Amino acid sequence: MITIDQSLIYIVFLVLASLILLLVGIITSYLRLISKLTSFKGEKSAVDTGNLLIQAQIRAQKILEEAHVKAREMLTRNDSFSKDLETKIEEELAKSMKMYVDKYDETLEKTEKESIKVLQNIPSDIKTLFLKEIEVVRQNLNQEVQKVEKDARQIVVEAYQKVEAEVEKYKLERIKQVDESIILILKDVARKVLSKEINKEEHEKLVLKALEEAKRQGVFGVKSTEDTYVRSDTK
Amino acid sequence: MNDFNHYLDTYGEIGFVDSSFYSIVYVSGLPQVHPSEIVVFETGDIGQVLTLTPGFSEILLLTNAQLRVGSKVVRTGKSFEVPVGTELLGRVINPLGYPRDKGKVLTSLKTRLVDTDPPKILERTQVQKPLETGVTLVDLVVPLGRGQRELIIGDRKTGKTEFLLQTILTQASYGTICIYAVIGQKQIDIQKLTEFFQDRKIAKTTIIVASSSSDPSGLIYLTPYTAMAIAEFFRDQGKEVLLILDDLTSHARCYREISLLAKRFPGRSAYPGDIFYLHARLLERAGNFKNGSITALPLAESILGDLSGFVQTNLMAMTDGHIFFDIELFNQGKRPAVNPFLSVSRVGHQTQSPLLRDVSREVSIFLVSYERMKQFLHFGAEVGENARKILALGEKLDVFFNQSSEMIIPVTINVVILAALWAGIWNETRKEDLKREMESIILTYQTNTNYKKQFDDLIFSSKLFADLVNYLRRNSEVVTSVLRRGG
Amino acid sequence: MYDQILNKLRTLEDKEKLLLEIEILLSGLYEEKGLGFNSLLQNRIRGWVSSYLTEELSKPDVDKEAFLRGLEKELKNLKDVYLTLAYEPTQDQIDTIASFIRQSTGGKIILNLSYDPQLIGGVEIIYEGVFRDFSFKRIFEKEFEEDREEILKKLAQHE
Repeated sequence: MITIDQSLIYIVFLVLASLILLLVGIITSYLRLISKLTSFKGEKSAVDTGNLLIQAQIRAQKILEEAHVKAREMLTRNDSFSKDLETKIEEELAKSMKMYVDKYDETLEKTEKESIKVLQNIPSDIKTLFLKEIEVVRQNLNQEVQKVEKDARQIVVEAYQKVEAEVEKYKLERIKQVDESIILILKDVARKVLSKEINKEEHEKLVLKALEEAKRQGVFGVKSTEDTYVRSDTK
Repeated sequence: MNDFNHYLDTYGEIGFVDSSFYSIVYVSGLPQVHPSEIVVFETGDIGQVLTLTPGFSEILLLTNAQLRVGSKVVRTGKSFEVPVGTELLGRVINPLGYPRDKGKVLTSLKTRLVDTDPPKILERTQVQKPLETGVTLVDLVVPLGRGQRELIIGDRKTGKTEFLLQTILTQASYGTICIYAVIGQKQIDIQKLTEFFQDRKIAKTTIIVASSSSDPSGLIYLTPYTAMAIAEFFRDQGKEVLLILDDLTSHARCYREISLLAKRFPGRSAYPGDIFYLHARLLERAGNFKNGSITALPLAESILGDLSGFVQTNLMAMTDGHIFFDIELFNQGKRPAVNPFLSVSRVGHQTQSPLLRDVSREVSIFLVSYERMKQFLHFGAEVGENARKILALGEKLDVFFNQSSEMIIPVTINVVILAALWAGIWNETRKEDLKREMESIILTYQTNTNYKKQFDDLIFSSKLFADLVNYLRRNSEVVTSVLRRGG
Repeated sequence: MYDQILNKLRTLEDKEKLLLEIEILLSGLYEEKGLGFNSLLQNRIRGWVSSYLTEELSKPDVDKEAFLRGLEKELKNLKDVYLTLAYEPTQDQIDTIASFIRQSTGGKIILNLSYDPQLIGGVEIIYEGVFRDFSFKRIFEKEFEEDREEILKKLAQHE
């Protein structure tokens, strides 16, 4: 019985160790997954706001360039204008530039604000998403653990049952063998006892009786002058 | 076989082994043992009593045994019996009834004596039904009948076994039980035969009784008798049985070995004096009976085509004809290498319909004249119109008779093609195309039921070969339409 | 004329010994100018055999060699009676058995005894190829097999 217990303990230990390893593996993989997820999301938002700023800059630059070109055109066309006109034009140019710069500033501010807002939302978005995912992961993990527990228990029970059945079978066989050998021993003993029972005189009597019977059956042949066998029916 | 102690108690007789000499064991004791009785040794080996002398009996061992001097022997009181039953179909057994294949041991079957007297005259009838072999040359020129004993004789490696396998394939489709007795051959040959039957899916109607050359001589000696006993069992059930004995010359050699070991006086070629009785009592048990039939096809090997050997002439005397496989024809490329002039079937022709009888007579006469014409060719002489015609037709006939060992051709279509040949349908065809065209007709016959019915009716309605030839000469499209379809 | 000595023989061992002695005598017949024979007769042969032979050979018209060869032949022609016993019999008992059988068969027999305790009692006889079992072996086996079931049951009860 001792050997069976030991083997049972070994089996249980093995199963528990495998369970623990499995759990550790699952948790590390999920954590890795989640970290990847956050980094990816951060990158995306950064890219988005950067994109917005760049786009605003490009647009502003375009507007400025257009203004410059137009101004030069006007200047080249109207060379005869007086200096006042020139200064006026310069003023107007400066004003429009300022306007544009302001507009540019505005849009910049706006986009900044927007991007800040988005940036601010991202963490909360990510947080809710993250929490949701964690819930799901936790549930799955629970289920898996339960299932594995159940399977492990089942395996252990089955193994034990099988071993029990084999032990039973083995016991029956051995008992049968032992019975057989008992019978053989009994037979031998009976035979020896019986033969001891008969002493030498009785043996001799038996032998002579057997010989008489054989003679009666004609085993030794009928004494006659011809050498023929005359035998009665067998037995 | 019950065990040793049972027989010891029943008969109360015991014997002791005095000496042994290869397969012969000399046993003293057993005062009331009969000749040919089976005895059982202490070790479980079995033997058959050969000779009785006042001091000892000679026993032929039937199992491979190394017997110790002083071993005990008991009588069984019976002659040799073999288990028989329908469970044997599809099995490979040795002459004692033990399985040689990986199937289960046959128990609880009825047993049948192996060496019995042949049936008397009143139980027999004339050979009436034909036995189709599927081989053109044999079916037309040397036809066989059910219940006939036909000797298949030829040199080694001339195609005898292939011919027999073709016959078995044809007969298996008619439901004949085929029993193949392999007498002292190589174990690989037994294996190949088993695989052949399994591949062609005819194992369910065949039984193989096999003894390999490494088996004790006593066992090899018993093989054909066991096969005949099994054949008789199926015949008693009213079935048609085909029994093949491959081959009786090795059987005779094995019996010679036993006799010489038993110090019997040697006769011609050192064979014992009862070598004729050995085979005659076996072959006489085959025949056509009121209830069922056993057709026996024993094989004999000749040396260099010598048909006048001792065992060969013995076998020819006790069979109803022989089919001679000529090594010369085989070397010339003819397959099957049957020599139609030296082969004869004494009771086969009476089983044929009038048309077939006419056909076989025509063909035989033609073959003789063709042979004579071929002699003229050797002289390089100028040949006349008639001779040229005969030679051309003869060549085509050779192509017609050439048949591969895989093909089985029904007789009906053979007659149709032969009549077509006679009618001149293929006069303009080249030799190379001829075989192909003939094969296409055969294939059409086997696959298309309309054509089959047409040809069958044609054969059934013709009484003479000449009529059939004339009909085909006038209505040659009957055959050529098939060619155009298929060719 | 050999009956006197033949009747004294009982078992196979006796016969073998006598054959050996005859062999010795025959080989020494012509040694030392015929004088060796007598010394062999006195020294190498058993007492009762020696006295019997001296008596027989001193009769007139008796050729030593022919007599001895004749005796040898008779010995070889003795039929064997195989008896398998369940005990070791005493010499007297062997005598009784031998004389009984000799009476029944007409004399020319020799016993071949063997011992098999499996027989428990009685004897197995093999003579001239006939086998008879008069022992308890079969009966014991049969009875025991019949009781086997009961014994098994009793064993199960005791467990």
